[in-house]
Amino acid sequence: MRKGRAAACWWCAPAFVCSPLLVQAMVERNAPVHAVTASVADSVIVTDAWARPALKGGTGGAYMTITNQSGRTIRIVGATSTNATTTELHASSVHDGMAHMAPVPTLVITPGARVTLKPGGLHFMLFGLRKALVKGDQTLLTLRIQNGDQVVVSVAVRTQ
Amino acid sequence: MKDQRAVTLLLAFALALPLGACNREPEWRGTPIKPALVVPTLTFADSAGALIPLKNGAGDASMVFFGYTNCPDICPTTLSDWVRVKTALGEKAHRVHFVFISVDPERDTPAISQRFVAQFDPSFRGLSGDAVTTVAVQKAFAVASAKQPSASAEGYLVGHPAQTFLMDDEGRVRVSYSFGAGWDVMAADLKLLLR
Repeated sequence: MRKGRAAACWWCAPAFVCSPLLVQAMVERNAPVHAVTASVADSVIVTDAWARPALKGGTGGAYMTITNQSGRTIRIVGATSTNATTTELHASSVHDGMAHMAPVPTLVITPGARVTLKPGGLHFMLFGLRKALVKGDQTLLTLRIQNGDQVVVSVAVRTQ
Repeated sequence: MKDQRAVTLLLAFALALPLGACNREPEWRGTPIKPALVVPTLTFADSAGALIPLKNGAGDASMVFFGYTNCPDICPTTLSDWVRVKTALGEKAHRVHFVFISVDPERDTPAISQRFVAQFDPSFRGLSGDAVTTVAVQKAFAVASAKQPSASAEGYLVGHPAQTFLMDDEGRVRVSYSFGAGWDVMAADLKLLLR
């Protein structure tokens, strides 16, 4: 699953449509397309995105592994989902037998680093689900990067 | 006289030996609670108003967890672990009651609590009591929860116990399992208890 790349391609598509001459010029010069169109989102690789079942109107949690393949630090500053009224990044922790959660405003991923959002740790919270998350379904989550790029991630709903 | 005393002592020892063996705690893989907490029978109402006592039939056991349905991480993860526990128990699974008790009765009605757990297994029981019952059941299990004001969209989060408790058929809470202890650990202990 390489939604980061896929999303980047969609995002860049209008640029190609609007600039056929530019594309033609690149082809003629045998230039690699991604060298010109490279965006931060293009270097964000998301794998194993999943969420557990959750009720309509309730709160869901989404997990994934995010790899920064670019040569610069990326900052994920938020996320949105058409299936949730609000989406936030949170971190769970257990202290003295008590489970707590706290919002994480920014997820910083250094060049080449990989961050895994997993049960008991970092997760995206989907508040006010418009549709229940049902095992076997998929839901879309859009990650917002500080520079304005976006990465659309398809999240599979499963129990484990 | 001396011989008689020696025989009496030997007899007492011989009798005490099997008794001691019977009373010995199993070698739990979870964290034993010593001495076990004894929980009074508290009663919850389901969405239809039927009363559900928090107790086990003879030879049964319960796994009990305190959480809230707006919890997207620790609570669903625990319920998913329970699905594996139930599967691992095979034929003995029907003797175990998996009980989720909401510590957020303000938002979790009995119906919401039941729907929340049924997403994972329809046989799981989701309970939500009134404020008094919610305090009483946490006191009985020696746990606490607390609303956490948050800038989060949810309005407030709830700090809640992270562990699962094993309760036997005499209302004794004998073992606790910290978050992430492992479904196999819980299943192994239940098999010990249900032998």
